[in-house]
Amino acid sequence: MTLIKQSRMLLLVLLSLAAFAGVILLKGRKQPRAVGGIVSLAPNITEILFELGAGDQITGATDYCDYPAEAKAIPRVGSLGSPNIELLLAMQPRLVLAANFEHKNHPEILRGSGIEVIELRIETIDDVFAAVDRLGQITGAGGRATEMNRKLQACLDEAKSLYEGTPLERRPTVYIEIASKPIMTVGRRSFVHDIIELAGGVNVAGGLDALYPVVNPETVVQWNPQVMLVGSMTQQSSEDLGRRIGWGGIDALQNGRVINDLSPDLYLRPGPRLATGVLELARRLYRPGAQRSEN
Amino acid sequence: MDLGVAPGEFVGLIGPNGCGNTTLLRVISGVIRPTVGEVLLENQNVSRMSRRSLGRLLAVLLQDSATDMAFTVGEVAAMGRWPHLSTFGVETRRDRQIVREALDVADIAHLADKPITAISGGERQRAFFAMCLAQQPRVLLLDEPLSHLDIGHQLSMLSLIRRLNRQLGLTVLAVFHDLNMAAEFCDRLAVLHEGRLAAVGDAADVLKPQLLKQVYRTTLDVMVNPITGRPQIVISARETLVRHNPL
Amino acid sequence: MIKPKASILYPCLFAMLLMSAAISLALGPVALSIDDLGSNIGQLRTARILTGMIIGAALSVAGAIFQALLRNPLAEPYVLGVSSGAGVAAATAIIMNIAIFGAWTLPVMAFVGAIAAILLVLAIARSAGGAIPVQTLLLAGVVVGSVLGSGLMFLVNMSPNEKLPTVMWWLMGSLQLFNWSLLQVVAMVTLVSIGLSWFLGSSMNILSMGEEPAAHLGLNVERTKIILLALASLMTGCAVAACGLIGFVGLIVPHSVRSVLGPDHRRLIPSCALCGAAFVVLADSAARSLFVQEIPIGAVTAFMGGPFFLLLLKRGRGARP
Repeated sequence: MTLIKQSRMLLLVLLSLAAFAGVILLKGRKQPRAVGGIVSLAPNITEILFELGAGDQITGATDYCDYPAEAKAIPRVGSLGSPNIELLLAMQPRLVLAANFEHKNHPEILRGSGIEVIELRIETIDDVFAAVDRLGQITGAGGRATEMNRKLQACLDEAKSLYEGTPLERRPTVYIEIASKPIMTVGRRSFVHDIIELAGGVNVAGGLDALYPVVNPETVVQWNPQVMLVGSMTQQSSEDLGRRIGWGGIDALQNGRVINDLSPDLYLRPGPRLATGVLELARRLYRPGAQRSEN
Repeated sequence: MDLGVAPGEFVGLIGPNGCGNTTLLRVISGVIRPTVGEVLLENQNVSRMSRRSLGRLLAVLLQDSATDMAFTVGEVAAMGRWPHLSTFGVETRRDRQIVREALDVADIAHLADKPITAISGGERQRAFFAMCLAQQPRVLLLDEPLSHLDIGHQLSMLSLIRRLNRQLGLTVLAVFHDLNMAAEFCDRLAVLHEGRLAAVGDAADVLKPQLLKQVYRTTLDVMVNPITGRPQIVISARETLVRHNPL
Repeated sequence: MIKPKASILYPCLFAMLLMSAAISLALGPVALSIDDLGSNIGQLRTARILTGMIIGAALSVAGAIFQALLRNPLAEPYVLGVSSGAGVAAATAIIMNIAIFGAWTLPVMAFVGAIAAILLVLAIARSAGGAIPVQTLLLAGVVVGSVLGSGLMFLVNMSPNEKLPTVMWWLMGSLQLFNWSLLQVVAMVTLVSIGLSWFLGSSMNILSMGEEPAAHLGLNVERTKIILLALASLMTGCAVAACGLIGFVGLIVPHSVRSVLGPDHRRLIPSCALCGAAFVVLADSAARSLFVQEIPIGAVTAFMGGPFFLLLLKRGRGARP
């Protein structure tokens, strides 16, 4: 290579390195200030806090915290269970609330820096009631917590009233599709299974142990559910479902009993809206004629 | 350069390493397009001929035929019929007959069912020679055809080529490193030196010590072969050095 | 190497294919017999078997073509960056919830990604004169494959938790097709491509001798290379679009068939198609029935194919000395 070509190459390499370094330095320059407050690392916790009136105390939330609408304005600190730890340390919140931590040493690191860390397990509907109480204590909103739990229970009771008289064999069999590629449904250990039962349905996959088992489409044909529940997560319209090979004969599809107007957050997010989810599902199972929009 | 080969001639291309004789062969066979000038084969410009018609006219035997596909010798020879086959590649009885004859002539028929990867270098070369013969070409280009052969097979290969040349009128242009073989068997020799034609003509006129010294940069003695009367390079074990700047 | 006559060979291979189909039909969570073919579950299984046959044939023939074209024993359908290109496109479609073409979005995007990758490789490898040297093609394939592969890693890392199973499921391959029309399109393209490749069988033989000898024998080398590349890419792109990344098939089947039947592509191509079809169908039946949870088919093909191939390597010397 001639000298000119060599020096041109060298210049190119140096320029690229400089550009690279520049980008990294510039991006990393934002320094977060210490803001105190509460950081919520789970969307269900965020929802409960807002419901308790403590929403304005939240100074940091995850990418998934999208309800209520005000929650979207809260600065982001990371994703579910895996926050940007340096950001948190710089923010110095007085309390960090999480459902679980992906990196097991994060709680230590935070506590070591003087930040209080509380891990709340919210995996079943009972957990939701307990979490509401606990969070009520923590934020000093005990009264509102009790009121909230009363309302949640009322929802569940109303749902129950819809199917009280119906014996088990006459309750509709329900198939919930969490994902379509591969086909994933809910097993008996999942809280979603409990939602179905509390709504007066029978989970077709209730015999399976796994939390979210992957099943063969043949198996769904065998189960022959009477009602199907598909959310926007699976991007399948009821027409698409009917067109799937071999699914034409399934009860739910023949009778058009496909529920696709229920937001998945109502039954897939273990938070305070679960009770609403139960009620809405029960209404659709037992009063299909009177469709109401979700509350 | 300007080189003409008459039909039915057996011309030898000689020259030192890197002089361009292999490149010249590839230009003639049409694989490399000349930037200046043209190659005329039977008065047709090679660059304008279709590869298929060229394949029916001209066969090339290369030096290194490296392949790792385990075709049998018979299958390799049969590939020589390709330029003559119809679009569907169906072989007729006549095609198979021609292939059998080619295998016989190349003295490799006894290995027809052996995979080409399982035979010696010399045998492999004869297999590819059979492939060239099966093409039934009118012109044959050879790139160092003697390189893998023992002395017996070298002589028989060259005698065979010369017989094909004399009896069938096959025009042959071959690159040689062995000057004596070239002198013995070729009608004319063309000497290449740094990409140019240094001399062309009868062996006796071309193999002169001054020219050889200039081209090969080494002192060579030439004498007359007592049996055939053709010129021969005589080897003596005194020190001979090839130098860029002759002393 | 054995050289059975065509009249014996092809019926044997067909019979083998039908047997695999029968086995696959019978296996699964529900026991089926021939009478149940019309039933819903029967339809599902038939669709799966047909998909397996088409994909198996497509990948095996594409593999044979790439091995002849690139003259490298490690060549296989994904060697020119196809898997990474399709993977990036598919992951993007899944993660960003792209649904422009409805149910066809994922296959179409995967196909486009596959072809885009190959075109990129071609653009890089093309020399000034328009010729495509084989060595450069391979290297360019490695480069494009690794760059796109890193893009894929980035996407997988960024994907939200609920999308991850879908991305991984696609990357490991699955024969679960949802609609007949997609299968029909893939089948048509594959069958036509296999037919054309069979037709080019003698050209592939010549090409395996080396590009210069092939040119001397009368082959239009560059044009043939482009056509073969196009056919192989088309088949691979379709296979990947329909079923994700099913590996190993395109590498093992051509080598295995070649070590038994020899390198004559006029036999190799159809035999690869039939054997590849049977192989994938059998692998799929194993993937479906070994455990309650379905195993990704890519794992089964590697598990079944690897040792078998090793056996062949040790016994004969494969296709290499």
